[in-house]
Amino acid sequence: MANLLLIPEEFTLVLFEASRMRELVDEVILAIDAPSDLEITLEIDEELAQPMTASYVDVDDGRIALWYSGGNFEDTKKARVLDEERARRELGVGILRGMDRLSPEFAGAPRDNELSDAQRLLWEVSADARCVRAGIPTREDRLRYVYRLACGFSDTADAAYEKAWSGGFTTWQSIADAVANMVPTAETTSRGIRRDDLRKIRE
Amino acid sequence: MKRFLPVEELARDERFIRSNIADGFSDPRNGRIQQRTISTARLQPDRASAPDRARSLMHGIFVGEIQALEAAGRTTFDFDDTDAPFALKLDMARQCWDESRHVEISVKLGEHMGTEIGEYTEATFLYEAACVTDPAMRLAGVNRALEGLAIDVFNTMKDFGEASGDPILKFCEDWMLADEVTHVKMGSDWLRRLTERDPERRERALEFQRAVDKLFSLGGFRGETDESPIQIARRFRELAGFDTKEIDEIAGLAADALDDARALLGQTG
Repeated sequence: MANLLLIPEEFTLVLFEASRMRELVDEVILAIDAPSDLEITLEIDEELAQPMTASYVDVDDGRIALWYSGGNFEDTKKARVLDEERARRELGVGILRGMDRLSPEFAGAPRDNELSDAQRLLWEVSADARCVRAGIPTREDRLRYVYRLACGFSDTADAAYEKAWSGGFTTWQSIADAVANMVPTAETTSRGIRRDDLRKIRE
Repeated sequence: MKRFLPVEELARDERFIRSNIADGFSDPRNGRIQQRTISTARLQPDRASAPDRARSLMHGIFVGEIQALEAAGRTTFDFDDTDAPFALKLDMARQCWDESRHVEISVKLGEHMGTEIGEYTEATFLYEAACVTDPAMRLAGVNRALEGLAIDVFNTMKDFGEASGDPILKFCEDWMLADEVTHVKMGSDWLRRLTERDPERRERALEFQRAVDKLFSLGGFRGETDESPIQIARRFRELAGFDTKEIDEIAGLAADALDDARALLGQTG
């Protein structure tokens, strides 16, 4: 059982059960073979609906801090209803990236709101692939499109994707170097609008 | 075969789930989100939610194309040759071919973007707007209002493809956009011809078009401000034969629809 702080304690705007969310975190931790005493804060902004999706993964004082839009967990066919498959995938990627941040190999990684879209997505592809290997299904076609939006529709970007998918990036520096070697596009260098993000407006 | 097929009898397999506009208004999150400033609602690739919004919109385009195909198809069959000349039906048959192609393209674009048939719900109010029994009104509602909306949607998606460096999306949307311009022109031409001796009928048809235009600007979905994900494509509308006054009128209807939505959410939130 993870040491989990769930925010909010109970959901009032969406039809998610807090107890089920806690169970899903435990299921994911078991699947990815994470330490059972992992300390996690999981904050879900239930005001944000599909398709307003966004997430952040950071570490604060040794505790993994996950923030998600409620839309990240929502069934696309049934408003306000939890999609457990999506939730497992989101939590799996988030916890794996949080564990990366706790490791010395990712010690130099900037916080999520300081990452470029390309750095963030290449890291997510790596985590997604680990989820798949752990038996948590993902939608690879979806992931590839999100990745291409951030990293460009190019052979260079696709080669980095394949490397990430096959487990080729195991340190923060290897991800940063791969992104630096991609042909820069307007999309990978422009961060102005993304910084004006869904989470920030609450602060 | 049955004439004037009601929306309930449209053929769909188990992948399609219908949505209801009223469900959206009863969502308790709407009132909350109205109080938050989420910056621009425009579809821009460097927003965190851009991939999911683009996929959702693409699925909406896909089901819209199915219904546009059904609407044009019904027009070839629902009316006799007195109400709708054979040449009009021939144009509608040609439009069916275009819409069929758009359905196929939209399915493939959806796959390209990582979605699939049935991932999102289907709203059927496009087809419902095509159930009107006067062919002049149907042409105004479908070919001028809805195909006009398609111009705005495809142009928005084309811009998104260009901004994200996605050549597949950009070119596919551009090609479909060209067809929509033709569909609007056909609607304008036939509306003029069917009502050339009946100005009252023409006015009724145009009034119906305004009602459909307002419906499809629902909640600020379409407009000219940052609050609207779909932007009115003035240049392409001009190419399709809309004059500046008509485009200004659509922009005004869109602004009214946004105000209505704000008022409604203020009451329910």
